[in-house]
Amino acid sequence: MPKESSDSKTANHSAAKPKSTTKQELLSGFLLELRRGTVILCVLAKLKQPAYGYKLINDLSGTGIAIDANTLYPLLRRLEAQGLLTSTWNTDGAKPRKYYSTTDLGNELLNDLVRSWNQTVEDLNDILQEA
Amino acid sequence: MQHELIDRYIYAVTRHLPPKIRADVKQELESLIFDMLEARCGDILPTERDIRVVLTELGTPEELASKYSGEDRQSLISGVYFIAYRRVLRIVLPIVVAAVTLSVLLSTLLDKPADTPYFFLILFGQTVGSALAAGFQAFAIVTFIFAVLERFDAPLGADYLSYLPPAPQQARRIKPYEPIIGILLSLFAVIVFLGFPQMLSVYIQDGGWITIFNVTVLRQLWLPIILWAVLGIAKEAMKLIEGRNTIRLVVVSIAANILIVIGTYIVFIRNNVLNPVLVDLLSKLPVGQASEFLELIGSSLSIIIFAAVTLALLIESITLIAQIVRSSRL
Repeated sequence: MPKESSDSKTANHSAAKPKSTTKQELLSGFLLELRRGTVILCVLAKLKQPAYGYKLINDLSGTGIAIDANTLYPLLRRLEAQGLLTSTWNTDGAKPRKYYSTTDLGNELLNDLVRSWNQTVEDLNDILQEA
Repeated sequence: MQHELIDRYIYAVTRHLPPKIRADVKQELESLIFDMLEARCGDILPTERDIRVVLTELGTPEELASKYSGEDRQSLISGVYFIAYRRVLRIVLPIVVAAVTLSVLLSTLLDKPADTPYFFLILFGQTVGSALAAGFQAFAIVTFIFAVLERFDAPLGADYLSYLPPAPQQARRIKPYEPIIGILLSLFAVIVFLGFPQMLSVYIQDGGWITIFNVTVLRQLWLPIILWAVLGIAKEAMKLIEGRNTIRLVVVSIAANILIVIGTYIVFIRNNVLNPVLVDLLSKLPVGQASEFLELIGSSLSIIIFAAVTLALLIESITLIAQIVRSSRL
């Protein structure tokens, strides 16, 4: 399909009417964006020790990282489908629980992610100190 | 902890999911809800209200199901496909609706005499009904095509860099309505020429209404006439796609114009498509001093039409070239 001539027009159009947003709403929106990518990092790191979903939520919220169950559970399943996590059903307790743990592939990816995370933190700090 | 509300909630989530993961997700959610209730109530038996609070915390079943199915592919047509889809619809819908409106209007007007008091009401109803039906059909077909394209990740303009438009001051932008009007005119012409040639009539004092064209010959020439219209439409469609005057557009337009001139030659000179009765009458009209002039027109009407078409297309071609030359100097 050839170039789209009305693209820029519609983009301008939507940008032309800004939503009235309070500072608080803006802040929580930015924080959400900031946090979104880091959740995977947390999950892969935490699941070096096998754990079930709800325990992971509690552990993370204990360290100040809040994540909703309806976000974490689908995420665990997705990471499993991508081969970064593996799971087993543990039926020893009163209720069967699905334990997830990081695979070798997940660990390799985690190492890369951590390296790049540290680099990003360093770069960001440089920028923020200059400012 | 079995509870009817929990069962209903879990069912509402899993029914949207692929069958092979349903049982697993069901068990996982049961276990999660159990843990959440336990965290909330401890050893005390959870009440209906506790269950409602916990389930509300999990969000609506649809929301949860959509998170389980993955964030992408939520809509039938999205992203670049939607942009192209919207663009195609904007071009196709007006053309389809206008063409159908026109042909239904003409066929009703010409085929059925106005012998009922509700004629115009019926005419209105038929026209609006057909136009709406055609519009919806075109909409459905375009939507279906784009949905299929999206499912198969069909590349839409992968080489987008080559298609980047030149900066506006370097070439005259073609407003979209110009080629759309051109396409409508071509459609109108082909519908009238082939479908309703009796519309093109002149009134002559002694002869009454006489069609300008020889209807039989005209209908025999359906192929060159349709090709003629297709070329005209292709030319306008190219303008619509390019959006501005480019060298490619000029080359295609001139090629189409040459073919159209050849088509005109076939229709008007090789096969005399004009109604011989009219030509005869025109040349015999007793209009005093002007009669000689009219006789000349009558006998050479074909050549006059051919010359007019050729001249018009020649002017268009020269204008296109001139614009390109001018814009390349800027």
